[in-house]
Formats: sequence, structure tokens, C-alpha cells
Amino acid sequence: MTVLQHYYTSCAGKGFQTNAMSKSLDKDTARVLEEKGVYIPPVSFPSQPTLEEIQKFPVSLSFFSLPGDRWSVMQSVYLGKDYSGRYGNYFSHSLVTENYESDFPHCLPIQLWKSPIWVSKESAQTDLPPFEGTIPDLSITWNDVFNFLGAGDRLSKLGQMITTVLNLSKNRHPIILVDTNQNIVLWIAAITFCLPYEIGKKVTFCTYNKNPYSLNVMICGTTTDSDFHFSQQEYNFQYTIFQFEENTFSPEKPVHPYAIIVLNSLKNRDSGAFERFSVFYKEVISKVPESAEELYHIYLLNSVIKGAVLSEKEWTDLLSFLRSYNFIDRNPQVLKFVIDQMSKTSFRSSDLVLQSLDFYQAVVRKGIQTDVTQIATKSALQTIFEYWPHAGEAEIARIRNAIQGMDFNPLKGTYAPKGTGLLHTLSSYESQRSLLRFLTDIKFILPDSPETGDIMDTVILPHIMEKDTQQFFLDLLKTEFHDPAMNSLGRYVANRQDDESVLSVISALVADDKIYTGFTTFAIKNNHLRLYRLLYKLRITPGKEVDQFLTYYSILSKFIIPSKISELNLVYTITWKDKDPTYPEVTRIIETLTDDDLELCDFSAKLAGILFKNVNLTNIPDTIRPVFEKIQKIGKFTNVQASLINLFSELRDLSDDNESSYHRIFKDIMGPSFNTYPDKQGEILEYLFRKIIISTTNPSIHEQFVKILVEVYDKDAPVHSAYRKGFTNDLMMSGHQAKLLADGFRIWDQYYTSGKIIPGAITDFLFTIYKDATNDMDRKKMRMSEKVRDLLVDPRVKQRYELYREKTEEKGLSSIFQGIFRKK
Amino acid sequence: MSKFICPYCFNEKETNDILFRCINPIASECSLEEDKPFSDYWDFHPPKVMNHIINSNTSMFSQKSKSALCPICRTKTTKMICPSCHNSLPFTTGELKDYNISLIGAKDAGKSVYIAVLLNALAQRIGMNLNASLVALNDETIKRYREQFYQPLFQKKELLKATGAAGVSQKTPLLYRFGFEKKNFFGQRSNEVVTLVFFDTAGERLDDEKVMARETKYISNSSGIIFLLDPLQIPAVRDRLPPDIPLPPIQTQPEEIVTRVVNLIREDKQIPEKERIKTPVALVFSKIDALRSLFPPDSMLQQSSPHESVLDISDCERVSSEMLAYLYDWIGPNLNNIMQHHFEHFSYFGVSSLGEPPTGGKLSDAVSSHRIEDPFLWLLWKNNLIQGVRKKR
Repeated sequence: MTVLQHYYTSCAGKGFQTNAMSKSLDKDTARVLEEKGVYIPPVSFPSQPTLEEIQKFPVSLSFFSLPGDRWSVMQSVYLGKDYSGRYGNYFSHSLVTENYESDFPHCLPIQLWKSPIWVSKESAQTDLPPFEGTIPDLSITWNDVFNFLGAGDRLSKLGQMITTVLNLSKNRHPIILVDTNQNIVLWIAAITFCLPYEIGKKVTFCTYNKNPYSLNVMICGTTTDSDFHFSQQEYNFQYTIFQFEENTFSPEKPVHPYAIIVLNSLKNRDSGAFERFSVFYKEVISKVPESAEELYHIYLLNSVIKGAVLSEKEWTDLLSFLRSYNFIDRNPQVLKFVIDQMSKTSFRSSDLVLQSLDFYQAVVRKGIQTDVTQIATKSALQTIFEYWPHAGEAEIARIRNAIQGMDFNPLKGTYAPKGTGLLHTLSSYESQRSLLRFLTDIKFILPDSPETGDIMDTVILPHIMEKDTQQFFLDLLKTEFHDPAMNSLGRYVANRQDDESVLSVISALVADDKIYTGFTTFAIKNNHLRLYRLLYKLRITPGKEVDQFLTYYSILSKFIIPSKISELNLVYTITWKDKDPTYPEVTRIIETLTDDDLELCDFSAKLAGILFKNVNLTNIPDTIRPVFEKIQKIGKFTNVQASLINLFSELRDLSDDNESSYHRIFKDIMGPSFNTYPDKQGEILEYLFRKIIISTTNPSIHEQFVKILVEVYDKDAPVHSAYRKGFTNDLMMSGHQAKLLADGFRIWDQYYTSGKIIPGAITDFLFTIYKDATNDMDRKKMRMSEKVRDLLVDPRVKQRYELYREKTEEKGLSSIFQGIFRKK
Repeated sequence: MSKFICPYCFNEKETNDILFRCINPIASECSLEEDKPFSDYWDFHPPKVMNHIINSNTSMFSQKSKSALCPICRTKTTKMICPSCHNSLPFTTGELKDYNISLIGAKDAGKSVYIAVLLNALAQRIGMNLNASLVALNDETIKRYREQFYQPLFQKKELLKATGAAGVSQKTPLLYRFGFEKKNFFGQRSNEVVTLVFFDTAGERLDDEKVMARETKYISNSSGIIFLLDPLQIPAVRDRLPPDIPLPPIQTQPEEIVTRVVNLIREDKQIPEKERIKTPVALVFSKIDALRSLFPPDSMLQQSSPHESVLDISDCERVSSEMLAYLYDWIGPNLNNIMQHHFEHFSYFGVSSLGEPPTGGKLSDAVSSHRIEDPFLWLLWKNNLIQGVRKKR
């Protein structure tokens, strides 16, 4: 590389201008160098100094950047008089380089202080050759720095200075140094020596300038009487001022961690540590962006690689750094060292543990090298197992997140037993559950593992009443762990006697229909009738009881159980609890259940009762008849019911002339044993009356019973009602309606006219009779009425009948009756 | 809409374009940002990071606000900056008319000394005559005048140090608010306040037209130019002086510098050749104390300046005529021909800033300036800032 040169001074006869410069130095750069090369001596220094005095003037060595990635090191010295004898002359010699490090190897810019390379005499030639001289012995060494810092409180001030330089990119508070020129140089040397060379060589500075505002450097030395204002605002907010002459300083800032490290090393006067770190830093920054802010982290990295023990805070900082800047991508070998050290360290802070896992994950995700990935995975797992007992819910969530993308399978052989072992040692169920979830996630526990069932039984099911566990369990059911989970649940249910508590568990689990179906299937498959019954109990739907019951009945055959009947009795009770099945439900149940089952079940009698109650014995529908007969066959009707049924059967088969039997049956029916079945009494009575009313072979039997009705049961409305229904039904069904009506009129007429019946008791009957016989203007009925009249033999009866007809045609029926009875 | 000329970059701008800089010193409250125009002006590389710049969004019909509210931190600021170079503007910007007085001349012509003495005289004797006040507009002006001009010259009685051709002093003007009493035609008095901007150019810069081009704006936007000519650099003069007079090196010929100035103004202001430049130019022969032996006793240059609260036009004309005669004698008619051809208003003056030549860089006595105010008052008159009268002799 070429180092270009530039001289600026008041030239003989011409005044201030570029005296000479390297040919290839452009004019713009020359102009900038002229601007930066201006030297104004401190006001307090002699205005017309002697040569001796001039030697004491501050030398300005400055180092700054130029456009185009170039750097300039410049020395400006005061010369005193110019060619004309006027004071104010100075000489600025600049060196411009594009690659400082190669042009000035192993030499920080500040070490060029008062170097023999600097020129301060006008050149006779305007063209300067590029600088090719060698750097002689450096004027400032570590020893100078150690000696300088050893005095007073300089170390702590240095800490502040290094902190300021490292924070410059953030807070932009350049350093203003007011001290002797020599001390300023040593301060700058101390700062840059303590930084890695890669950073130190980029710290811009100026050892003296009367107007620090005119420069844009990180460190500027000046004097108390300079143009710098030293305002409070500048002290506090805009600069970091170290005014050693007046002992005033900007407020102290928290010392940068790197500065703390530096100060410790300085106390040991160990310059080698800095030099070695510089070498390491250079290696590292070739892989990450250069940043003074990260210096501390790189130092930590260096320490780790050398086997130093870091504090947790330092680990936190280091890991955070390593994850940035694609460091992981580019430094696999360094990473191995770091991970190795991490695995030997037990982190106590949750944040750090989690951060380390994030780090391992980042390493694994990068997949840089197989061996690095492997050790990262192993370390991650080891960390997880160590940390698990202390992890809370949030931390576990983060762990789960951090392991995504990691393949633990290769570690299964060694670590799966450790994981399951840990599972049983955890005192907190939350930890257990989450560890179990973790172990299943990473497939350390598989559905067919021998220990799976035991883990389910001991870890999950005891907590199945807890919501989180239930969710976990349900999640398991959706995975390949369905069967072991179900089996465990089955065992759990089987071992618990308290149905209610079991119910509350499974009710929470089967909110999902799919799960419910799965459960029932499981129960059937595993002959787990109790579980099946409990599931059944959970889902009894009003209106669908019989369907569910019959389904249960049908599925019951799939279970191998000691007593089907007691199960049926139990399920019947569960299904209908405090109510009874409806008549249609009863018929379906009886229809579906086998004779044997019906015969044995307790509830069969109940079903028989409901059936009996709802069936009209005198007119059992064909569809119901088999059901009725089934119950009858297995003898599930009560004695009374059976007697009633028998009475009806006898009556049904009785011939008209068997008067005594009619009277006996009538007497039986009216007996007290059937009072509990008044409906059935009424039905049979009606049937009996129908038979005698319609009897053609033995007309007297009708008269006999009417007589009984009028004389014995004149106040028994149900009996009269049965008669009326029987008469009406006969009338409807018979082909001899006129005769029936005529007979009725004839038989009853005598009792009306004799006044032997209470009108009220028989009104309904008469109403029906006369309405049908006389009180209808319908032509057909008219003819019927005439037929009735013709059938009446007794002239007096016939006459009364006519009278009724006439009246009926003229007036309402009730008035007719009233008229009749009044006449009477 | 009012305009102003930035005293740093000398660009003429609308006052409505003035920007503000936030003054919140706490970086965490208000973002800092790289200021490229400012850094370009000062040759800062990398660009300097400074407080946020605020556009006050004044409409074209409204008065320029004197303050702005930072949109980031809500801090009120009155720190106005130039929309071009982002340097801080005087607080009078937009309020007072700016008068930039350019001082040009070859190296060693005595420009710095002239400024030093003139400013001191304006603050004292001339100020008293004009009933005027001269107030520095910023701390930099006060400090710089005190350290670079006043203390060496008036306190230490030393010759000023050579003015560097680069650096801060070459980029930082001396800014003053000049308030004085003005009489109108009917003798009515009113107070006039203007901003005076002095730029102490290093003579070296005027040797090279390309270098000088950087000062183009400064010269072409001037209200008046004081062109200092060092008679001791004229060979014809040097030959006639007693041998004990210390002579400076001969620098650039005056015609060359004037020609460069003419070219700069014409180019920058786009003034055609057939038109003359209207900027008044005072062609001032400095150091005339050394020439006293060459002037006859009744020479106008031997007499004190007669101007008091008004400019004595007759005196100026007579001095100018006399100096022109010397000019013809010393260097011939060329310079005057150039002036006549290119400038509408110009006049010749002769001044002595120190009163006597320094010896060994020191003054033997206190500063005793002679006719130092003539060119300045003439420029004020040409700018209608003071009255001019023709006094009878």
C-alpha cells in the first residue's frame, strides 16, 4: 500500500498553503488536510515565543478518517514566525493511508507521537514521494502506560474513558481531555492500548486542538483556555469531559463490563493478556461485524475458550452475543468449546437456562456440523433434565419451544431411562405432567413401551380430576397413546367404587362426541361394563330413553358379565329413574326383550302394569296382542289383572241363554276386588251390557238387567254409564237398530211412566235413545223412527212414542221431557 | 417574502425556509442524526451526529416563526439554522437586514489588522459619532475578536498572527448587530439596526481563482467590498521609501485579484459584460503611515477623517482623486480602468490601521489609526444607511 504525504504551512512569500504533497493525493483530500491541519496555540502561551518556549507548545497528533475508507495521521507543530517574521506559523505533516494496519504494522496511531517520521520543515519540492520510511522504536510503550496509570486515581478515570469510547456509537459523547499535552497522549495511549488492536486502531483522536468543535474525533485534547465552552450542558449531555487541570469531570457512567475487566488486568500489569486478546479478537471479528459494543462479549468468549469460569451474568451476555451476527454459522469449532464449557456448568438462573436452550436450538437449527449439532442436542437434553424440577409453567413452555427442531432420538438409549426416572422423582405433579408430555413429544416414551401404562396410572390418572390433566389426557387420546391412555383410564375406573366421582371425571373427558364414541367402543371392547354404563348414564336424552335402553340391551350381549338381568334392572332404573316409560315405550321394550329376560327382570311387572292399564281388554289391538300375550304368558300380570282378564275371557265366550253366568259375572265385576281397576270394570260391564242388549235369543235378560239397574243400581252412575255406552255401541254396530231402539223404549218406558227411576240417572240414556229415534229431521232417521214406532206392540207405548215424536219435531228435546214428566 | 444571507455559506435564502435544531441535550429523549450538510461544510468525516432538525412549516403568507416545537421530544427551540449548510443563524435573521462587508486583499495587505481596528473604532469613536452601538451576535465572535484581534493588538501591542488560510477562522464570520441613529432628508431621526458580517479572508486564498471560488458566495452576496491594497507591495512605492521601512514580500498584483473578483461576481450573479456591477467597492490603500514621507503636507491623506454622524462626500471624493493620482503614478491606469469598466460605484481610500509601522512584530505605541472609518462609512452611505453631505472647506 502507499502512504501519501502532505505538508501544510505558511510558505515562504506565499502564506499558508499546501507546501508539498504526494502526487496522487487529490485536491479535495489536500483541502481537508489543510482544514484539519490548522494549529492555533493556546491563548495562554507566549504570543511571540522564543525557540525554547516553542518546544513547550502542545504538539497536535491527530488521527481521523477521510472519505473513501482512508485514514490520516497528522502531526501539527507550532513554528512561531513565518518567512516574513510574523508569528502564527505552524507545520502540519499528514500521512494518508488506505490500510493503516498494513502500512503501520503493530503500531497504534498514538504511538507515532513525536516519532522521527514527522517533518516540520518546508519542502523545496512540491511533489512529495509516498512515505516509505520504517517506523522506528515506538515512543510510547506499555511500561509508559503502566507508570502513568499508577499515579493517583487514573485507573478509575481510565475506566470511564474506555466506557465512553465503547458507548460512543450509542450516546455520541466524545471525550474532551484537558491535561498536559504529554498526559493527554498517555491517556489516549492507555485507552487504545487496552482495546484490541482492531478497535484501538480506529479510535480517532487529536492530542491538541484549540477548537475541539472543529473536529469530529472520539477523543480531543485541548486546554482550559481553548474555544471549548465547558458549559454545564456539555459536561452533562454532549461530551464526556475530563478536565484534569480544574478537576472537573462529566458525571460518571456505569463502567462498561469490558472496562472492568481491563482495570483488573491493568492492576496486574499484564500487557500480554491484552495482546493475546487482540489476536483472538481479530480472528473473531473476521467472522462477525466489528463492533466496539460487543468487545466485552468477545472477551468473554476468549475467556471461555481458555477455560475461565464465567459468572451467570457473563454467560447471559455471552450467549446473547453468540446468537447474534451469525456467529454460530461461522465458528463451529469455537462453539464446541463454548458448549463444552456450558455442559460443565450448572446454571441457576432460569433465564440463563432457557437462554442456553435457545442457544442450543439455534446451534442445532443451523446444522453446521454433525458433531456440533450432536453435542448441542446432548447438552440441551442434559440441561432440560437438570432444570426440570425447578421449572415453572412458563419456563416449560419456553423449553418446549426451545427444543423444536432437535432430534433427541439418537440419545434415547441413554437418556430415556433418565427421563422416566426423573418423572417419578418429581414432587410437583405439574412438572411430572409436563415432563411426561415432553418425553412423549421427543418419543422417549412410546405407546408400546412397557413402562407407559405404569406412567399413565401413576402420573396422569391420579390427577385426572384436574382440568389441565384432563386436557392432557384428551390430547393423548388423539395420539398414538390412545390405547394405553384408555387402558389406564379403564383401570382407574375399575378401581374406584364411587360412581359419582368417576362420572365427574369421564363427564369432563367426553365432552367431545368423538371421544365419547371412542370411550364406549373401548368399554365394549374391553368388557368394561361399568365404564359403559357410566358413559350411558351420562348421555340419557329425554325422549330417547327407550332407544338408548334398547341399544344398551342389544349391546349388552357383547359383554361377558355375571348377570345380565341385574344389569338390565340397573340400567332400567338409571334410564327412567323416578318416572315410568310411556305405553308405546313399554310395548317396544316388551316386544324387544326376550321372554326369558322379561320374565327375570324386576321391571317386567311394572311394564305389565303399564301395559294392562293402557290396553282395552275388550278390544286389544292386533299389534299389541302379541305383547299382551307375551306378558300374560310369562305371568307378569297381577292376580287381579289376571282375574279381570279371565272374567273378560269368560264373558266373551258366554252364550245368551246362560243367564246365571251373566248374573254371576256381573256380580264378580261389581265386587270389591276390582275396585282398583274401575276402568277395567267399566270396560267389562259395557261389554256385558252390549251382549245382553243385543241378545236376540234371550230378550228377557235385557229386561232383567234393566230392572237391576233401576232397582239396585239406580244411583251407581258408572254402571249406568257402562250400560249407556254398551247400548250406544250396540246401536252403532247392530244391523237391527230399529229393533234395539224399540226394545229399549219399550223396556224403559214402564219405569218412566211409573216414576220408578230418578230422571237424572237415566237422562243420558233417554237422550240418546230419543235423539236417535225421534229427534232427527234427517230423512233416513225419520224412516228409522217410523220403523221403531211400527215395532212397538203395546198401543199405549206406541201412543206415547208418537207423542214424543210430535213434540220433538216441534221443540227441543229437553222441553219434550219436561212436558212428558209434567203431564205424568 | 423576506430573504437573508447565511453568514456561513453566504447562500441567499427565504426566511420561510429557515430550519430549527432541537436543543434537547438528552439523547435518549430526542434522536440524534447525522447532519450531512453541516458535516460537509465543516469537513467532518464521518458525518457529525447532531440534534434533530425541525422544519417549522411556515406557510408562504405567514411570518417566519422564531421558534419551533420538536416533533419528537416536544422541546421548544429557537435555534435557527441555515437550510443550506445547517449552521446556526444569528437570532436577528429575518428581522434585520444583513450587510455583509467583504474584506479582500492580497496576503499581508493588513486585512486582519484593519478589521481589528475598525471593529474597535466602531465600538468606540465612530460609534459615538454615529450614536451607534456594535454588539457581537454570538459568543464565538466575542471570543474570537478578543483573543485574535483585541488582546494582541490593543493589549499586548503585538502584530496579529498570520491568518490561516483554512480552519475554523476561515469559516466562521464575525457577526455584529450594528444599531445607529439615522436622519432622513428632513432631519428626522430614526433608529436603524443592521447585521454586519465580517469575513476575515486569508490573503493566500485570493491567489488562486479556484480556491477563491469557495468564497464566491461571500463576495458576490456582499453589500460592499473593501479591497485592501498594500502600497508596500508596489515596487514603485518600495523604491521611494526610506530604507528603514520594513517591507513585506510582494504578493499577487492587485489587478489580478480584482479581475478574479469581477469574474466571480459576474459568473455567480449572471451579470452580462455590458452591465456594471452595482456592489460598491472601496479600494483602500493600507499602511499609508509608512508613506507619509511621500505625501505633501496638504495632502488629504495627511488630514484626519472629518466624518462624524454623516459622511462628508466631498472629503471622500478628494481622497479618492488623490489616491487615484498616486495609483496612476505607482502602477498605471490599468486597475482604475478595470474598476471603471466593471463597477458602478467605487472609490479610493487611504488608511492606516496602526498609525505607525510595527517593529519586530511589536507596536512601539498604542494603536493610532488614521482614516480607518472612511471606506466603511462610504459603504454605509452607498447602502443608504447613513446620510452623506458635502461639507464646504
